[in-house]
Amino acid sequence: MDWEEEERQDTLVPELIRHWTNERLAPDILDQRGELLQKVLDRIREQADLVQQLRADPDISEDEHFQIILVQTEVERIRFIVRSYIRSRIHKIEKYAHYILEDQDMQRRLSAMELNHAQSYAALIDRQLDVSVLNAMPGWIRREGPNWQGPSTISRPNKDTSIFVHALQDCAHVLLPDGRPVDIKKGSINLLRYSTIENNLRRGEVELV
Amino acid sequence: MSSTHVSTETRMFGDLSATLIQESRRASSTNTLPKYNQPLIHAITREIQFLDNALDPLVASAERVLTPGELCAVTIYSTSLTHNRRSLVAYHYHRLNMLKSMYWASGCALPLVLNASHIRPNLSPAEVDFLREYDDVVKQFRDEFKEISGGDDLGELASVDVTSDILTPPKDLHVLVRVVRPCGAVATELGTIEFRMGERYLVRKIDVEHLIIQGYLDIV
Repeated sequence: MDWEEEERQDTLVPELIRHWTNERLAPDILDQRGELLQKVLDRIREQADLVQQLRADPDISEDEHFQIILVQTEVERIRFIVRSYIRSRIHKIEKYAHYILEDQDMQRRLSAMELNHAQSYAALIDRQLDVSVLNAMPGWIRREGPNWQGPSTISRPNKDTSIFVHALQDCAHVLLPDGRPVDIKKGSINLLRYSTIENNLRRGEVELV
Repeated sequence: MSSTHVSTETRMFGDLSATLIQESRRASSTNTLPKYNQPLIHAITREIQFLDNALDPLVASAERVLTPGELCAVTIYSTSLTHNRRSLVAYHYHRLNMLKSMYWASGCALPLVLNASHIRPNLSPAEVDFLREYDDVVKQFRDEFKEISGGDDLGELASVDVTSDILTPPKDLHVLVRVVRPCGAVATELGTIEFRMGERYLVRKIDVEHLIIQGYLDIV
């Protein structure tokens, strides 16, 4: 591995871990990280290739044998993170499937595969509820229409959830819920509502802890 | 002297729904799925029908101004009706979510969930269909993701199976397991190994993960 690859290595996995943590802690679905994911998957393929090559070599040294185990372990751990990241998104996508289908902003944050999944899942749930409950109901309460009385039946992410935020940079003029602006210092950890730092998170200025 | 029989049983609209939701709460707190309550659901549906029929004449006469008494009746009937609807939907949706959790916990092994003796008899036919269809939807996503992540000849080592375990980060590549239920021959990186009852084997975790989750193997 030359020094350029080593430099890349320094940021790829930590970046993946940061986005994984953010996704697990955020109440809303975050922007999809297609590029990052692709790089990670490429990295996994490279490592798998390396293992394959080392394995095929009949006279490998003890060091190289150890190397195989190290590489395989790293691949396993990265695969674990990717799995957990995807599952965390899928969980939220299924929870808010109907809301996603009617909100363009949400749709932009999903990959094509995830959007597909949202549609399939929403249709599945609709079919289920129709068959077990709604088909036996009077027509006017079957679907949530424009004159719907009472709370909406479509759940949306709660952006007022409190989360712990670690500032990676100085963030000026962050608006608190009561309208007051505050400046957040780099390195500080604060307990805030998700809605307060939503945009800062999107721009990578803060991370969730 | 006339005696008036006072009924000790008073029922309001929405009482049945309250009982239904109580069941959902109990299911969550005990983490067990009770039997699908078909009789109660029928009763609530009948109540909804009754309320709708009672509303019909009142709503139809929207031309004239309703008396305070009629307005009161409309409010009570429609509020009870929508409450019943919400309760029914909540009950079913809650059960679907419980089934989803069980499905994922089993490692997405559909037969495991469908054949479990504490689950199958408690499901409605629609819920069985749901599990099958949900399994299809999940498997489709899993296969698509596997494709974009896998190498052509690198197969297992490179591709990412999103249905695999996400509870414990892998620390060791290999795991020492003991066979507690017969599982026959299993394909591993070292070739096919015949897993014999009661014996212990040191194998790659990813080769036997699904067997561990489903209870064929115990970690030593």
